[in-house]
Amino acid sequence: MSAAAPPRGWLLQTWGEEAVAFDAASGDTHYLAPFTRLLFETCRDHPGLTTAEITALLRARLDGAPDTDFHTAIDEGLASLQRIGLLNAP
Amino acid sequence: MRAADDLLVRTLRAPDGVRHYSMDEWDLLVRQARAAGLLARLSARLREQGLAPIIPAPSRWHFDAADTLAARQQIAIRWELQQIRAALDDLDTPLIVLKGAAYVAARLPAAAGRLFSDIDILVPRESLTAVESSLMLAGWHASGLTDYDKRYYRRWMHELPPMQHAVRDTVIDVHHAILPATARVHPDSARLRARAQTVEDLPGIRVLAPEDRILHAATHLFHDGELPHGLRDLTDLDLLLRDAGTHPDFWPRLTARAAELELGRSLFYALRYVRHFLDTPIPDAVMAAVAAHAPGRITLALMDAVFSRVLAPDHASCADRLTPAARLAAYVRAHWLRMPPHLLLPHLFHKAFISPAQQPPKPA
Amino acid sequence: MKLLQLPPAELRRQLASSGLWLRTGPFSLRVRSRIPSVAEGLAQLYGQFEVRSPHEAFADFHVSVNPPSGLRRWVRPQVCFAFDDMPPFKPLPYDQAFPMLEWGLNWCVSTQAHQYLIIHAGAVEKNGRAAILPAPPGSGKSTLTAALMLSGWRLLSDELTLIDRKTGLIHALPRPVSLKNASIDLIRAFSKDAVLNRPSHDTIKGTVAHLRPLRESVLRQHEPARPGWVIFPRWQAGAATTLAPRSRAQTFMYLAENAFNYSHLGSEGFRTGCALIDRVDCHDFTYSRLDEAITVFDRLAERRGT
Repeated sequence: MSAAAPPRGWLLQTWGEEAVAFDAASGDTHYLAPFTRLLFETCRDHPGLTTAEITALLRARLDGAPDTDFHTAIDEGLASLQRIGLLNAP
Repeated sequence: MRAADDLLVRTLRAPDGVRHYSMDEWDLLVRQARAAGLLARLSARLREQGLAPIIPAPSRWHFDAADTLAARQQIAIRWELQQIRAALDDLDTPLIVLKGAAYVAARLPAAAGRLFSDIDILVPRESLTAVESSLMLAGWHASGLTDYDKRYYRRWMHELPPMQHAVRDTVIDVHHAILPATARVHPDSARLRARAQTVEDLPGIRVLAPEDRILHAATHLFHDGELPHGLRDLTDLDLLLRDAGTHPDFWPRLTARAAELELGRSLFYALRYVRHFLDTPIPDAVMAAVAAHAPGRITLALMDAVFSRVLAPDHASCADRLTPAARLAAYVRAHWLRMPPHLLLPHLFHKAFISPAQQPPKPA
Repeated sequence: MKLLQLPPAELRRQLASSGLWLRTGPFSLRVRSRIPSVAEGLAQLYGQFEVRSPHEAFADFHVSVNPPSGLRRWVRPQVCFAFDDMPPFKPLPYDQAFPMLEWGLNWCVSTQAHQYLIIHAGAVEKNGRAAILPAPPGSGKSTLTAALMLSGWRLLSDELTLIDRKTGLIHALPRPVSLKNASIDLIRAFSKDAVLNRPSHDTIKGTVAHLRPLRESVLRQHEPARPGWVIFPRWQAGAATTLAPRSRAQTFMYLAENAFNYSHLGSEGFRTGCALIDRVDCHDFTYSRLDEAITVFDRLAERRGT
């Protein structure tokens, strides 16, 4: 899958593990929970990876055991990031 | 007719005059401009004439705040147009945008300092139902209207009632013609659509050709009853004419097209009053050409008395004792033009006694 | 000249004719009203604010509070607020004329003053740092704001916290604090310095009265304040006084959703909000006793001041 760096026209601000993002074109403001934020940054720092590769990276970073919840969280996180437009859809 | 010498109008005509304004005049100017929905446009005009530094400190934030609103709305309009286009993607009708939103889409001078309430679009009559369904799927619904109003729209205007987005609150007016079917004149929408032009950066969106948008603005102004933004619409016309007038064959095209679409009378009034209020440069030959569509002397005198009041800023300082009667006359006339008499009286009765209009305060 | 220096008859005369010119924080007003309770309220609560000659040329907001014309002047009389002759609200019962002026002035600021990010919150300042108190309904925000003002904190605002977009500082608008129902007697009993006007009954919020801003707060109204905290107060009967840290990002989201003009400011709104959150500590605050609440706030001010 392909993921882009924050599209032009977005502003991003992080505090601790959380972040807020602003889409200048639509005027929408979004809250990124810690996991979603981490997911976004991982995609942004490693463009062009597949979902499996992203999953592996995150698993290593979070020291977690791979389970269905983890995979679901990643799928949902990616879907919501695409929905709001922070990531391009594959 | 009543002289066009209200402070706001004088300032729009000759912005340089602000160099000599007293604080009393600045106070009144801001208030007239806000009431007319023209504070942002006035601010843009002063800025483009290099007069922004002249604005005295106490009043400056009013202009800046208006600029902020206008700039934000331009972004919002472009976004909204993209959403509408996406919602109507499966219809193979070109999406034509009208009025203010068109000025933004085409990046015209008439977009400067413009504030918006609704977005107006033009679609073929056959597509109305499909358009309504697609818009509803994407979150727009006819709302805020009484059942009477909705029936009025569907039955007599053959239009969709204004549709408001459930989340974003933006309103779309869907038209299939620039005048309702019950009006006495029927400018052919197919001809308007045939000449529509594309715009940069907004794929799938079109605007009317320059002559057509001017004719539409003129028609809208002189056929519409409410005229809450009469002076603002006149400034739109002024900016459109000044911009289009720089092209070599624009004027003959305009007068020819007016005749072709049977909109000569509206164009006559538009050019007459835009010159009266804003000194828009119009070649004498053009004024002579549209004079052929002028009404009789007595009607003209009456229209002058009405429109020289109704197009003035909608502020108490610009009203004289004839202004209320003039507004009523304009309202009645506009509805007379849009409706056959046997429908008009019940409609006016209903509006006056059953659903009194609530005028919301206007943004700057 | 201050309003308290105007003889009452002159105050009424100006209000009833071309209007009273009055300055409140960053905004100048021209107020017209023929209603006695409006003149009384202004005399009681706005004494320290600046007035000028009725011929003063420029005012930011021209407002009027008067009975509407027509039948409703006599039968169950009403009062109408107008902003330069445009009425943004429906009329209210005559008894509510003074609160209507206050609500109308808040409306003017929150819909026009886009040089600020305008947060629906109270704000108070001590030792050079301001606490912003956002106001979900029922939070007791105004009661707490009033008590803090009466306990040595400077009142910056009760309803509208104005964040200057360029500097990030809070510009004070220390107009009277609106109190409801039980808070009215509570604050009266809290301090002998509490001066309130005559309550209006049966408003949409219950019984409403306004508390006069202390002289010191009004004298310093043109002195902007540096934000120090955003504290979400919650009064809960019998609760222990607790101050707990709160997520900055979530506080930002709350402000974005509840600021009056965040969406009008676009990217500027986002940047101003972020700059604010960057420089404040964010807390949730629960309390049941005002004196304990004041102590907690005072301690925060001491720590920041050192």
